[in-house]
Amino acid sequence: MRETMWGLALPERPAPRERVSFWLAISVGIGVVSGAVAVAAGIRAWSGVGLLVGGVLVAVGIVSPRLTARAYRAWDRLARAYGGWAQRMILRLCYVTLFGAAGLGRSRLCLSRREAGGTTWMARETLPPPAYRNQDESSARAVTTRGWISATMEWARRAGEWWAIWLIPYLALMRLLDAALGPQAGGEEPPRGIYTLY
Amino acid sequence: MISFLRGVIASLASVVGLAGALLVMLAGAPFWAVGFLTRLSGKIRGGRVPEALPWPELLQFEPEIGWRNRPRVDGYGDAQGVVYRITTDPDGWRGHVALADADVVVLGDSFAFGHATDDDDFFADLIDRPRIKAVGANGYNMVQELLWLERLADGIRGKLVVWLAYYGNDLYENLVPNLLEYRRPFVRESGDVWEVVTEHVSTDPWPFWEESDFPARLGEICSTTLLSLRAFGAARHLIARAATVCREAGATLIVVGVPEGWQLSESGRRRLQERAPDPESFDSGKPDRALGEACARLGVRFVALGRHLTRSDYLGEGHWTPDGNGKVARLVAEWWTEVRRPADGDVGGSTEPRPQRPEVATPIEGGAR
Repeated sequence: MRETMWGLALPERPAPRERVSFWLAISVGIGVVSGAVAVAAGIRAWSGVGLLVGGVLVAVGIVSPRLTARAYRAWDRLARAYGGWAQRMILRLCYVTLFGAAGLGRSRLCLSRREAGGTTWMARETLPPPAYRNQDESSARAVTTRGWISATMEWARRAGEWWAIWLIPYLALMRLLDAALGPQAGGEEPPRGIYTLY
Repeated sequence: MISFLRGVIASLASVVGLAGALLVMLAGAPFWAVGFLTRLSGKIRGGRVPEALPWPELLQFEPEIGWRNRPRVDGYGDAQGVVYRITTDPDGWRGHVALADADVVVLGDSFAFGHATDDDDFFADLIDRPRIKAVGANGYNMVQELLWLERLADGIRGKLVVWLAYYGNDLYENLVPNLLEYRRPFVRESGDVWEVVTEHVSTDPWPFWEESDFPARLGEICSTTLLSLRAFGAARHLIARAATVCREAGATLIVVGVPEGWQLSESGRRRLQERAPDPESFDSGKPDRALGEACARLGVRFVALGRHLTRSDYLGEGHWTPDGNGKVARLVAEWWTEVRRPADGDVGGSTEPRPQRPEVATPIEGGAR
């Protein structure tokens, strides 16, 4: 995966300077929030409050590196939990609003089983080999040369399902969150001791 | 027309949905900001997030001993997610002092190697005097360490040799011919005699192996069990051989019992006891006493490190913190001062070892015995 500056999950193997940066960011952030609370509370020396709180936190981090290491791990867990929640929420919003609207508008897409106990599997014809990255009716050329956004738009045009273009921002957000969470632990290869059958 | 209307309805619904999605994303602003700032430091300071060297790149095969550190490593190691800076000398040992120039040689496993410890925090490099040379590698048992001591015997004359015996796995692994798929020397009992076995050591992967449950093995060793009898018998044999090597080489030997972090807290001792096959006979201080008595019989000084360290001197992954490294460095300096003869001055050790003073371990305070 390409290294990016943006990410929810913190670097899994932080260098010492990254842990220091993390703690500084947390200290500054809490200092700013403290200053804002002081402003809201009508305290004149709000900047002093922010500086004091931030400064104390920085000092605590210097005195106790163990605390910063724990805070780092806790924050990482919290960020990952947020990322998972955000992905679920966005999927839910997409389903309720976009698919709900498409369903009301009598989309030709099969959005639910036609009959009780039925199947949504659809028979397909053989496609050209390059199209197997995306087995819908979009042309192989669109999929392989112009990326998934073009392919989705072309599919929407060909199918007459223009509403599906609105899937693109949801998919982009999901993609962004997925990248921001990084590879899942143990996701690179099967766990040791698992006897694979492939 | 229907398609158009469907698009209009979907557009209106999506605007609402995307507004909600935007709020969801904004809720994560602190996480995005902290993640960005944490990564930014690496860029600003001209560095990138260090990639830890995988285990095989830190080690190489060594006949008879199994493996050794690669020489002239300049990179990063990984201790369960904590990346730390490592450099090794032309012989593969850490620390900036050459063996020939050292006053003290610290022999051991990953503790002597400084696993999970940055070069800047490594005990061997924290003090100017005595000059400490650490001879250790990840995963070593005491047999491998003894074999190195025998190989380096010509270079330890007049020096203090501090041998770290880690209870977490050394006592058990002295009896085991492999570490995962890597072959290693071990000791076996033939009749009443213990012998070091090396003939199986090669680069071929060991065919049958599994990851050991070290806490369970330590619990077993701390109890009245056959494994306990064998583990301490093997350790006695190895210490006796090391004492002979040091005596003949004109060096002073101190054996240091390094406790597993769990042994230093009430809850940790309880967890070990729960894993012992016979919890009734579990005694967390047993390794200290057994090794202390063995050393006393041999006239070798023994130090129970558990009397000097606390649980907070250990990282969660099991090795010493920077503070723990600092304590060990100061202790080594104290021992060196104690064994030096006044006539030696400040320029090195004696050519003849001072009569060795046994220090029988006292039990670690508190906890199950």
